[in-house]
Formats: sequence, C-alpha cells, structure tokens
Amino acid sequence: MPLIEIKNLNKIYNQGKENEFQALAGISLTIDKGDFIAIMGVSGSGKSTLMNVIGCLDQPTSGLYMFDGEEIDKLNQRELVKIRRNKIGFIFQNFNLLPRMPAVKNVELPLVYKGIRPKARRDRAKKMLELVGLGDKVRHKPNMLSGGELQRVAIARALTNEPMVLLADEPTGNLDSQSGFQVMEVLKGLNKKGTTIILVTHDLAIAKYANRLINIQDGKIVN
Amino acid sequence: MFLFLYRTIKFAVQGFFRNFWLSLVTIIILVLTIFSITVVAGINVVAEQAIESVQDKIDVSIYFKPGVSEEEVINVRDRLQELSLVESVLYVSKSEALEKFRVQHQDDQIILDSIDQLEENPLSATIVVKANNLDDYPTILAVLENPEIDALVLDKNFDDNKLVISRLSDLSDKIKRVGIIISSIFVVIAILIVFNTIRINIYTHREEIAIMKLVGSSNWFVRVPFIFESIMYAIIAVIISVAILYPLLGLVAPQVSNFFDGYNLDLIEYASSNFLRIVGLQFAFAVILSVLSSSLAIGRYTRV
Repeated sequence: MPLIEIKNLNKIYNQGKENEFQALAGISLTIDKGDFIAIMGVSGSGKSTLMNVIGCLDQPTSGLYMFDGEEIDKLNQRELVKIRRNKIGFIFQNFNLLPRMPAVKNVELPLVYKGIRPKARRDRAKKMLELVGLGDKVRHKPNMLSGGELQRVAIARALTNEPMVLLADEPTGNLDSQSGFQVMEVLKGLNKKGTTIILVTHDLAIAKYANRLINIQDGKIVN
Repeated sequence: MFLFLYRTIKFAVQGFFRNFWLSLVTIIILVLTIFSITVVAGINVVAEQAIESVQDKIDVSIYFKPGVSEEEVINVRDRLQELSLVESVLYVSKSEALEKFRVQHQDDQIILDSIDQLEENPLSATIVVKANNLDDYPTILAVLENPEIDALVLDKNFDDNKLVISRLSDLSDKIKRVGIIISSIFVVIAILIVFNTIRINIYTHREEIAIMKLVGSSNWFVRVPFIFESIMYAIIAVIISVAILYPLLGLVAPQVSNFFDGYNLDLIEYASSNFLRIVGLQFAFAVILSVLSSSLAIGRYTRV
C-alpha cells in the first residue's frame, strides 16, 4: 500500500466567484514509504498548493487523497490536526521558528502538543539537534544561529515526532549555496535511514538530491 | 495538566503586560460596567426594602360608634377574620384604647386631667386590619361598606402610606430604567473593548499561532490562553470594583438610612451578609461577558 495516493485531485480557490482560480487540475500521484520526491515548477504552478494539501493544511475541492490508508477528505479538523502532529513534519523556507525560544525549546514544541513529559521532551529534542549536527547549540536562540543552522533546527523540530513523511517547502530558498547543500545532505541522510521526503523547489540542483522528480505546470503534472 | 495551566497563566500574563495600556483600559471599562450594574441592583434592593418596610406599616383602622356593644365589634372582627385576604385583625377594646391613650400622653397632664374629668370613656373600640397584599385593601374596604357594618362604624382610616409606596415605586422604576440603559451601554462597550484587546493580542501573536498550528497544536491549545487572559481581566475588574464599592457603601449607607428614617434599611448589613452572593454574581457576570467577547474574537481570528 502506498503511503500517499492522490487521484484526480482539484483545488479551486474562490469557486463560483469572479476571481475563481484553479490551482490544481486533476493531479494523480502515488508516493511510497521511503521515497524522496522533488516537486518542481515555476512560481504559481501549484506546487505549494499541492504541498499544503498533502500536509493537510488545505483541503482539496475534489478528488481522492489517501494518506496512510485514511481518506483525508472524510476527516474533521481535529483529526487533521492529529495527522499533522503525529505523521507529518514540516520544513519551510522561512524556518518558522519562535524567535524568543532557544533551539531546544523550538524542537520540543511538537512534543508539548503531544503531551510528552518535560524530561522526555528535552532528551528527545537534544537527540534530534545532535542528529542534525547542532548538539552544541541547544541553548542558542534563533538570532544567534546562521541560516543553515536555523533550517537544521527546523529539520530537527520536524523530525522530533518521528513523522512518516517530511514535507520541505523550498528548504534552501533562504540559504546561501553552501548552507543549502549542507541542509540537503542532512535530508538525504534522513531519507537513507527510511524517512519519506517530499521536497518543493524550483532549483534543479537541489531537486537532483531526490530520486524522483515531478514537474508541475498550471496545476497539472507534466512529467 | 499542571504544565498546561502554568503555560496558560504565563501566556496570559505576558499578553496582559505586552499591551499594558490596552489591558488597563479593558479593566477600567469592565469595572465601570460591573459598578453600574451593581449600583442599579443596589437601587433595586433599597427600593424593594423601602417598599416592604412601608407596606408593613399599612393597615385599616375601623373606629366604632360610642354606643356599639363589644359583642357587635367582635362579630365584625370575626367576619373580617374569615376573609382569606386578611392577614390579621387586631381588636382594641374601649378600655384598651383608653389605656393606650394614657400611655401615649403620659407627659401631658392637661390631657390626662381632661380625660379624668369625663364621666365616660370617650374613646371607641377599634379594629385594625392588615391585608396579605397591598392590592387587597380595596376589597376589604368594600366589605366594610356593607350597610350592616357601615351602620356601626364611626370612621375608617386607610393610611396614606399607599401614596408613599406608589411614589417610591415610580421613582425606583425610573432609576432602574435609566440604570439599565447606562449599564447596557457599558456592556456593549465592554464587549467591544475586550473583543478588540484579545484581537490585538492575537494579532501580536499571529506568527507564533501559525507556527503552533503548523507543528500540530490543537485549536484548544491556541485558544485557552486568550480565554484565560479575558478571565484575568474579569477577576481584576471584580477585585477593583469590590475595593471601590464597599468603602463607598460605608459613606452612602448612613445617608440612605437617614433618608428612610424609621424604616428598617441597613445597606451595610445587607452588603455584608450577602458579600459572597454579590461578589459571586459580579464575578459570574464579568467572566461571562469577557469569555463571550474573547471567544468571538478567538473564533474569528485563530482559524487554521
């Protein structure tokens, strides 16, 4: 059974209104456990919308979306939050870290919502930071870290719940090339250990880290 | 649970101090709202107690003609006692009336001497009738109009207190109406201010909220601190309004008691014996108001 199965998926914004816009038009896609997929496309092609739908941050207008055997369309908000919390890890271009919290507390955050006890949380967060090579910077606040380090903290946070899939939306977009490649090496290493990774990028050099490439144009998969 | 509570309180306190002046204005408006509603309720209590006191003093005194025998008076008393509208009937015989008269005028020797010079007791027997309700007196008076009874009666004295009650009721109604209008205005302002304060706080935390949601926070986890913050405003507002209200009552209560001299009206005693009830009602009202307006703001501005 594939981890993700998408059939004829459509996403239409402002449906029935003058400014109606079809972001996704009949997307079909399967992703297996352990895959490393790069979704490529120009700005406005629909790649981030697809990412949001896959990450349960947005609901499709029509079509089928199965995640780990569950039909996402049939789930309520509470159940979607549960899936986001337990099965999906997010990495964003702008890191989305809380500026007033040290790295370790940022990494702990998903475990707080999961109700894990403080000691266990702290140990797990430190372990994750060590995994991404930041074991010596657990107390550093975001303003004391470089772009590459910030993204690695975000990766550690995304991994802390042991998600089934890691969604990375332009994870190197705000980084210099060297930091970008470092982050990609971390993601590649995680994939080798079995983590499924879905990467959204418009940079072919970054996309080459994936073992499968999907091109999106005007909301459709072109190859 | 303890950690959740700790985090909620910490978040609420942070929100309070992050927009300190806005929080202060919110609390002041809540204090004014609670205060105005308490004053309206207080006026209602004073009016009700005053009306009750005056009602206690209302009765109908029936004075019988000098020649009427004791048996005839007792017959009338018994007939009145049978009426369900009557609460009590007090029979004052001629000799009792004279005795009372002497006691009342014990310091006036001229009156006492004049009474002594008369050969017969000049006072007539009296019946004092008290009705269950103020509205029952016209029916009782109608019974007394019966020719059989009317032939025995010299005079009837239905107290003027009825006029006092009617005026007191009118005044209390007017004050209540004005008070309700003022309180309603404050309630609307308070809802808008609390709504706006929480909305601004949500806006201040918007990035944090978005991140919390992205990493799997439930709506409940995001919303509770804001609700708690509004409850904190309510608690502070109640404490301030009680701190103002009770000393102020100490100043006003003697004036009110003087105004209603002779009536049993002790506001301090009332406020002390009903302290928990008053504070509880104020607290419940303030919390409902705050939670309602903050929930509106939260529901509108913290959607995923």
